[in-house]
This record gives sequence, C-alpha cells and structure tokens, in this order.
Amino acid sequence: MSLIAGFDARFPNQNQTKHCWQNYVDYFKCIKARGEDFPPCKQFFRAYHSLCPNDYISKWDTQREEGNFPVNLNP
Amino acid sequence: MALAPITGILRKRLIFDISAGLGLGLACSYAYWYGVHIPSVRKRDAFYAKLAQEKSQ
Amino acid sequence: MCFLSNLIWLSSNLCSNDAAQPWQFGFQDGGSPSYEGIVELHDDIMFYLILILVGVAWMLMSTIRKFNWNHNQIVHKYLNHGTVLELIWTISPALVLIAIAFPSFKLLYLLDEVIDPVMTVKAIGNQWYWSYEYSDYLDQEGQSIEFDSYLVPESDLEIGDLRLLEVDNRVVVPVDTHIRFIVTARDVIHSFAVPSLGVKLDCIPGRLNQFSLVINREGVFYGQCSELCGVLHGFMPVVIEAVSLEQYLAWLSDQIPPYLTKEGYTPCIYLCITHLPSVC
Repeated sequence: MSLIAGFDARFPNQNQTKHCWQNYVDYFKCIKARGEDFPPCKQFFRAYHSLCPNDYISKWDTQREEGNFPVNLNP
Repeated sequence: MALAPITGILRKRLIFDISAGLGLGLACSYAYWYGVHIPSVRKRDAFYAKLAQEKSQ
Repeated sequence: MCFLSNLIWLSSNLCSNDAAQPWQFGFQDGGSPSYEGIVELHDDIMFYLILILVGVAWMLMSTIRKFNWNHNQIVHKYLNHGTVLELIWTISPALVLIAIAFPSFKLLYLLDEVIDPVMTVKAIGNQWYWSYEYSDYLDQEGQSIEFDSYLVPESDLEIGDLRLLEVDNRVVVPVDTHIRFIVTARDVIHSFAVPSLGVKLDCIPGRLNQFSLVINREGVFYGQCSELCGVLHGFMPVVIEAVSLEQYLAWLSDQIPPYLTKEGYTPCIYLCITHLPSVC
C-alpha cells in the first residue's frame, strides 16, 4: 500500500501533468461510484494531493462546485 | 649518375604526423584519466566510506 | 590572481564547495548520485576531448612548421585523392562519437527514472520567488505544508552568509531518501537548478515536470533560477537543506498545525512505514 503516488506505468516520463489530472478525476469518479469511505478511492486522493499543486486543486474544486468542471464525473 | 626516385615524402610525413598526433593525444588522455579522474574518484569514495563508517557508529 | 588561487585551493579540497565560488574553475562538490553520474560522463567525454585536442593541435603545428614556403617549396598540385586517408579520418571520429554515445545515453535514461519515491516535494516558480509544497501529509482541514522562499536581501545578510544565495525558508529534506520533485511555474518559465545535486529542470506553467533526487550527505546545497523570467531572474535562489531523518521529522512537526496523512498517521509513523516497514 503506497502512501503517496508511486510509479504509474501510464506516465513513465518527465511530464506528470496528466498523472495529476487523472488521479484527481479518478478520485471523484470513484467516490461518486463507491462512496467516500471506499478504501481504494483514498489512493487516488493521496496521489492527486501529492502530485498536483494546491492551486490546481483549488481551481478544480471551485469548478466542480460551480458546475464548470470539464469532465463528466458521473459513473 | 641516376638518383633513386624521391617519392612518398608527403605520405611518410602524413603517416608520421597522424601517428604522432594521435599517439600523443592518447598519452595525454590517459594522463588525464589516471592523473585527474582516478584520484578524484578515489577521494570521493574515501569521503563516502568515512561517512558510512561514522554513520554506523 | 583570484582565478589561480581558487584553482589551487579548490582542487586541493582545502575548502568544500556546495555553492558557486568566485573564480571557480571546476565542479562544485557533489551530493547526489545524479551529480556523480554527470561528472563521470564529463570525465569520459574529456578523455576523447583531450585526444582530439592534442591530435588536432599537433597536426596544425606540424602543418605550420613543416609546410610553410620557407620549409617546403613543393606544391602537390596533382594530388586529388587519398582514399585510405579519407577513410581513416571519417571512421575514427565516428568511432569516437559512438564511444561517447554509450555512457551518455545510459546516464540520460538513468536520470529519467523515477521509480518508488518515498516522498514528493513540489516547487513552483513565481516572479520572483519559489513556493514549496509538501502535500504528502494534510492537516484536519486538508491543508498541506506550503511556504514561499524569498532571497535574503543584502542588508539582512549575516556574516558568513552567501550574497544572492541565501533564502528565508529553505527546502528541508531528509538524507538518503528517494524524493520525487514536481516542478512547475505560476506565471512564466523558470528553471529549478541545484548544480551540486546534479539538478536542473525547467518549470513551465501548465506542465508538471518530475525528477528524482537522493541526497547522500547532510548539508546545504545552493542553486539559482536558470531560465530568464524577468528583472529579478538572478535574485530567486534555491536552497535545499539535507538533514537527518530525526531532524526532518522535528522540522515537520514545527510546521504547525499537526499534519497527518489521510489515515491519521503522523509524518513520523508514515515515514517509518515507508522507510523501515519491518520495524513499524
């Protein structure tokens, strides 16, 4: 069980932008589908917090609250 | 009185120069390798060996 | 004079060198495997460089001395080909380049690997300071450790401090720990560079770049922003302080409030689990 975002073979190179983005999206899709207490969702939570700058996280959180988030998070 | 043909001056010169140049170059390269690089590596390894020893105490 | 004296002092290691020295000639002292790899590659390439330099200098000197008009009045006006010679002077440089390419590519791919880091530190370039975030642990409200790092102005320097290199908040990290750095920028392109750790990576707005770092010894390592970013581009240094694990945990707990991972682990336990799983 990794406590931070470990190596993800989908993002092996220097550019980790999509890695951060994917974990953020996956977390919210995960809790929508399985609920907030489902343990594997927490891995996405940890990963996106480790990787994404806090600016990105607050901007996306605001977008989600306002309904402007560019991805459909429904399962 | 016939003289022997005088040929190959340039060729001999070239062979000599290229061999001397590259040979001297190789010598200087090895001098650098064994005179600068290896002592530097030894010094660095000694530092880290000492550090490891201090850590284990 | 300064150059010569630094050449002597620094090469005899009478003083250590984790920041740029005035009139410095060689590398700074290293503190990470990335640095050691880079210096090893440098020495490999220098071998061939010296070979070529001396070889070419010899040819040049020989041509000037033995083929000037006073020395040699034969003009080889019918010399058109020299196939053997041309083969030699095409193939040997190609071989030299291949010999240089092997260690170069090996190092390049090695430096790119980030497998299994223990912690992640984010560095964000701003005009004209750095922001750092340690988001592996969050507090009750979900806040992570973040702080800005500004240059200490000359008027505030103490005796012994380095001008244009000291900052108010350093990046504190534990030694012998595999750290993943994520660097980006908030406005224009910056570049996160710490030469003594073999680190330099551009910080591009909208892109997260990663590199991995292991610091082999305790110490303070200095670097500067390495991509032109405005008037104060030369005035936003980077300082990484590598401390023992205990000191790092003490520093963490000084960053109020109590930071916990999502499960409620304190950083102490969290690092114990990741560093020494058999113990915890």
